[in-house]
Amino acid sequence: MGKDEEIKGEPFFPNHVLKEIIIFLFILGLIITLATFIPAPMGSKADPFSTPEHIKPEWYFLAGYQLLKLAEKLDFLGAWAPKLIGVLGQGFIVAIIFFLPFIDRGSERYPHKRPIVTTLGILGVVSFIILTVWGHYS
Amino acid sequence: MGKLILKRVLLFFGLLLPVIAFAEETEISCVICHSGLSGEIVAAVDQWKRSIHKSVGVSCPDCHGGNPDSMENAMDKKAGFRGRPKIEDIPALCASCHADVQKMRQYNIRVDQYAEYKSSVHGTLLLKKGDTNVATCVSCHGKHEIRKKGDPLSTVYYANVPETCGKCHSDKQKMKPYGIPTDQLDDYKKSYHGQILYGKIKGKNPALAPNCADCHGIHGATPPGVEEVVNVCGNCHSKTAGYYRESPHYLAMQEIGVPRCVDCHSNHNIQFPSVEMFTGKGEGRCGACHEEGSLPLETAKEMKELFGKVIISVEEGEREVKEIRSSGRNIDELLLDIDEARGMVTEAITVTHTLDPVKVKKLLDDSVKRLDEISYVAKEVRKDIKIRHIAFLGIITLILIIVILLLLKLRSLKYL
Amino acid sequence: MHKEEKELRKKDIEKRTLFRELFDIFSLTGFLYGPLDERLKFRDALEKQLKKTTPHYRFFIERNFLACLGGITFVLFLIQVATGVLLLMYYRPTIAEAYNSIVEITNNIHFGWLVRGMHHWAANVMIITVILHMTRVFFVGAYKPPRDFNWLTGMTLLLLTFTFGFSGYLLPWSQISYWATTVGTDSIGAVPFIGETLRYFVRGGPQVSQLALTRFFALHVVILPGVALFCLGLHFLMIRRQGISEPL
Repeated sequence: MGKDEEIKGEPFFPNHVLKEIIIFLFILGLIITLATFIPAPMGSKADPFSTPEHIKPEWYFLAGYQLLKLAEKLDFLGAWAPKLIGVLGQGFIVAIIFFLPFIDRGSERYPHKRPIVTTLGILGVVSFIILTVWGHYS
Repeated sequence: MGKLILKRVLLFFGLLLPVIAFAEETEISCVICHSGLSGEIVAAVDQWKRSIHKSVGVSCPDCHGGNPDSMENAMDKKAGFRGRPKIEDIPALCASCHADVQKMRQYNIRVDQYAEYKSSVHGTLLLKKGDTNVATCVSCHGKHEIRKKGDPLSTVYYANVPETCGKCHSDKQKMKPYGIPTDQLDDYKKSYHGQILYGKIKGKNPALAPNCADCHGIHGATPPGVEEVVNVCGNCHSKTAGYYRESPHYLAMQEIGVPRCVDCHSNHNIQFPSVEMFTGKGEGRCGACHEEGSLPLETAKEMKELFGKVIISVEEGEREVKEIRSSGRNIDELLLDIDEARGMVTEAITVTHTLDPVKVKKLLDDSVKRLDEISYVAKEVRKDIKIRHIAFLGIITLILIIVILLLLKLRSLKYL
Repeated sequence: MHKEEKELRKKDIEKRTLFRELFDIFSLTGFLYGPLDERLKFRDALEKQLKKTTPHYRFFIERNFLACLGGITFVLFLIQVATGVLLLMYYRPTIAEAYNSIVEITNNIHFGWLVRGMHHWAANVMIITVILHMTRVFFVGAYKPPRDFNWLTGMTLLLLTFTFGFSGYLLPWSQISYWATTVGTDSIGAVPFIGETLRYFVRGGPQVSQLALTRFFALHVVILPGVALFCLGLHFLMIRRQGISEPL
């Protein structure tokens, strides 16, 4: 493979489009498989007068939910603390990720050449997974 | 103008005065002196403070007599002090208020307890034979810490009644002179009634389970007599009692005294009836009274077979319905149908008390018809699931073929 | 000028390529295409787009999975739109009928179970891929200028995906969806000063009820798809204009 080709890369059409179509079919097959063998949950009709024992959000909100529960340990600061810190803390984390390019301003792209951001990123991913699993089992 | 205000202020405090005075006087002199003492007497005051009597203003002198207003002769016999009431006097003492319509009306409680007690086994032994070992009011309700029957801490709260009765009735020493068994409490705890009362049966309301008092009477405690049994059980099992009265068994009961409810179902240790009762020779089985080969026993066998089949198909129907849940369907309606079919079987069980196979069979046939409908739906759904899986294989194969073809095409392409 | 242009076109025609053939098929479909193309230059614009290259990644997993996460997410989005529209035809957004209509879709309507199942699963897989996509972009530093603004549209799309999930969860009006939404919206109340008002606004009342369902329904099927399509447009436009970041 010549150096020129490497820089130019793959053409969008037809190579890349073909690949995307293959991926599309692949995903479609995966979704159909899941839908056939693990049907969407049915549950029972909502009853505002009977609270179920364990209320859990969808799995992707479990980490946030678990953080809110952890924030309840802060109630020694006063009754206001747990919810406010829990909600605002999460808002703060989301805001940091949102405006990341304007906080991490260096132009270095290699992960090992910007250790602080990479470490924080790994910590973030790991804690998201831990909190989700923890939320699932608590 | 100023005078008027002054008058009003004075009037206000004047009105307040008795209230302040009363607040100071709440601790009556009995309590003031006795709380300085030790042991039983202090405990009695503490117990009384937790009782319903305290909150309605019934205090020491109302039962023990005496005059709390004068320190010197508070406990003078002449002032009516009677100390610890004699056991044989207790029912009458309680009745002095509790049988008084005027006094009890405000609390909306009955006044016939004393009259009932006098007619009970306890009451006759105490009042006619002078036996002071029997239960009086305080044996069940407590002495000083008397609580409302709706209070879960009360000894006569519905869930505490078996233990309260059992306190004496499972005591071999106490029951020896009367020659009555002491295993009723243990039997009751094992029984279906007891299991419901102690919350062990899911979906049954413990508050509706019968305890000792529901069959034996509360204050008129007596074992139900021969004639009574059907009526006592029929208080709750009214439908069954009605069917029983239509049956040949009822005629026999009027003539020879058996079979009553308890002869087949036992008394304290009542278990949930099963179809096994129709056969076998043991206690409570049809064969215990009826001879092998007799018409009644043959009928019983026939009923057992009928029930056996239907009960199995109810369970099978439920299993089938739950199986198709895996398709993600909502099966609430089918489960309701199953419940209905099961209800028909339960109804048929009560109808067996008429001993008429025709009536039983009609109900069971309806149940089977309903189950067949359910089974048909379940079968259709299972067929649908199978079709889904076949179609799934087809679609996946199609996708795979297209993917392979596209991959081949992709490999044949060269970068431009 | 005119002559030169004509000659250039002639040269182009001689250099037939695969996509050129493809577009010739289109040009056969109607006389409208020719005159329209002369004025609007579809052919040139599309040709330019299709000729663009995508970077060549060295590793198999990067080439066929990691670098495709965004594309996979978009594919899932398309599946969501298609199945969502189908569900919309049978769904009834009232608290009395919502659950019944879900039962109807799953139990009785042909392929209803499949469409609902696909919508459910594509939603879950989409959350995974969108998070993975973000994680990859984070670790390879693809958000660095000049692509910093595209990170913003991407983050907006991520939050939109989560909001899609949250609002869609209530729609079946089942016990779990009702209570999860009650607890979820309850935590909005913790926002200082405006929390109570905000919660009331989201729920359309003190409790999760008909107005909340209507609100979530409108959000899920009208507002969010509109905003998401707009953001997707921006996201793709910026990728086109700035090019895909070079592999490390």
